[in-house]
Amino acid sequence: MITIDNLTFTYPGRHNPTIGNLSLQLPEGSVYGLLGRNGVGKSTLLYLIAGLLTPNTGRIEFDGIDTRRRLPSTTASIFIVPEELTLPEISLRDYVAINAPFYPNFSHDDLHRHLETFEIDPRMRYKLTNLSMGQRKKVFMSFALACNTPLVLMDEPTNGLDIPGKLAFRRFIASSVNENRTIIISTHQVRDIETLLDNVLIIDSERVLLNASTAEIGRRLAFVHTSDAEVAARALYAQPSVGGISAVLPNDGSFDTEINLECLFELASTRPDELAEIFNKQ
Amino acid sequence: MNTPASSQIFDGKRFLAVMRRDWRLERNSWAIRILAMFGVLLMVELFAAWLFVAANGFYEDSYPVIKYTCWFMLSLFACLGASQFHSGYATAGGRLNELMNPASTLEKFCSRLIFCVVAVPLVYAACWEIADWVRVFVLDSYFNVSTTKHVSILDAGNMIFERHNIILSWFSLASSQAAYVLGSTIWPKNSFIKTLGAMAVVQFIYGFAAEYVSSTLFHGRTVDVLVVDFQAIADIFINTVTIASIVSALFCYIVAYFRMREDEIIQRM
Repeated sequence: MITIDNLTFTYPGRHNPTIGNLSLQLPEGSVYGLLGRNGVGKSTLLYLIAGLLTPNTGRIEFDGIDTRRRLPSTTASIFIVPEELTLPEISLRDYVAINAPFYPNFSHDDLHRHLETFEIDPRMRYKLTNLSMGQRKKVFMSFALACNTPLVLMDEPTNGLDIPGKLAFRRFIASSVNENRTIIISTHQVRDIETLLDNVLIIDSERVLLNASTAEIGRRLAFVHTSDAEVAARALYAQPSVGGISAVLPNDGSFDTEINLECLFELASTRPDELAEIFNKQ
Repeated sequence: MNTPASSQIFDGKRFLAVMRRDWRLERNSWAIRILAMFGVLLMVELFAAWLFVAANGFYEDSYPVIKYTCWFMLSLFACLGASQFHSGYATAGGRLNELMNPASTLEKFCSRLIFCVVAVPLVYAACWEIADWVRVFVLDSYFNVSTTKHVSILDAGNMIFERHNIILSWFSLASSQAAYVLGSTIWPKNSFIKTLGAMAVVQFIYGFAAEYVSSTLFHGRTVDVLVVDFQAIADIFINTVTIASIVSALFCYIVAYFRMREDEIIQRM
């Protein structure tokens, strides 16, 4: 369980806080999609959760321990995959040999399985710096999940991946989910993760706009594609799309639709109060 | 999460893993460093051998070259090594890798201390010994000079300094290394040059302040040189500088440890 309590963070030299007075709880065993506009502090929030930044006020606890203390037992339970990777000029075999001992649940079998999912040579003799950016990311994410840490934080994991890589990423995440592991994925590439998520977390710098499970979102909202202007007029949010209009409607129980994250995000950003009202209804 | 509190601070197995990681990540740069040390020392030793032959065997012409170079190079390489202490934190990505490595700050600190502070003078001493034996071998084999002696690194020290001064010089070296360690935690990039500059500024300010204070306090006062016990003054001076070196080294290491512990990714990534 991750508990964020009255968290405020301002980068040095700035007046406005990047994150202001944020509180939320994230139960374990889910895949969270962390969404927000540029600059609202998604990456910053991931770094704060990992204990890499010191909040101005408030605290973040992972399993009851303040992550900023960066105790070895805490850092061995959290793996962060940053947007931009810096990997040493050594082979993957050496990288695994020197880093795996820090993670008590590291599994070589899992690593091989993940590398095969990404169609990367599992013999591991190649130097990490000789790989392309996308390949490095695949290798690093494979290592991250092979460590079997209870919490994995991913910042824009699909940036730099080719189309087969994005498909493989979805298979890779889907095969790695279990009830003891929490994965938080921060991204703008919502279509890459749409089908993976158990929970959607949309933030702006001041508050949480939405923190709900995909099941609950499906119960309360309907995502339709229509050419009927009357339906569009009743929608909470509508945007033109190929061959019609994509719209979000309140779900009266008659719809069973797939979530359109783009529309959901725009709805949360443009009409946060109405959305909150819908989700606060019993 | 039910880990004993002591193992959150220091765990032997994890410490060995940190050392293994540091060694693997730095062994290439270590190889270059050792080659540089040995190469420079070998050139100096061969130059000393040539001087010895050119001066028809007068020790005085070659030994000063050896002994002063030995100590100068030792200081240089020791401080260069110490300035690499925090080099892993020079970039945002490197900093993230270091900070998320699941070991305690004490384990990381001790590992860096061994590689960057303790190991450098030891490796240097080994390079020195080998290079000097090469000099003896060259003189003996190619110039038929069998009277020349091997100069060990401790002998070189004894030749420059008196016995009590050599302790002072080791402590001074240790405090310089500590200053460079602290400097590297402040400026992980180009640490050596920046620390050197900072130390020069501090020395200048200190010298200026000392000159001002002494001229203010003792202006117009005379001293009868016949009653001054110069040996006692020298002893006080050496003891004071030795203690100051120890205190300064401890201060620098403690501050460096806490800077490392509190480190975080400040810049936006």
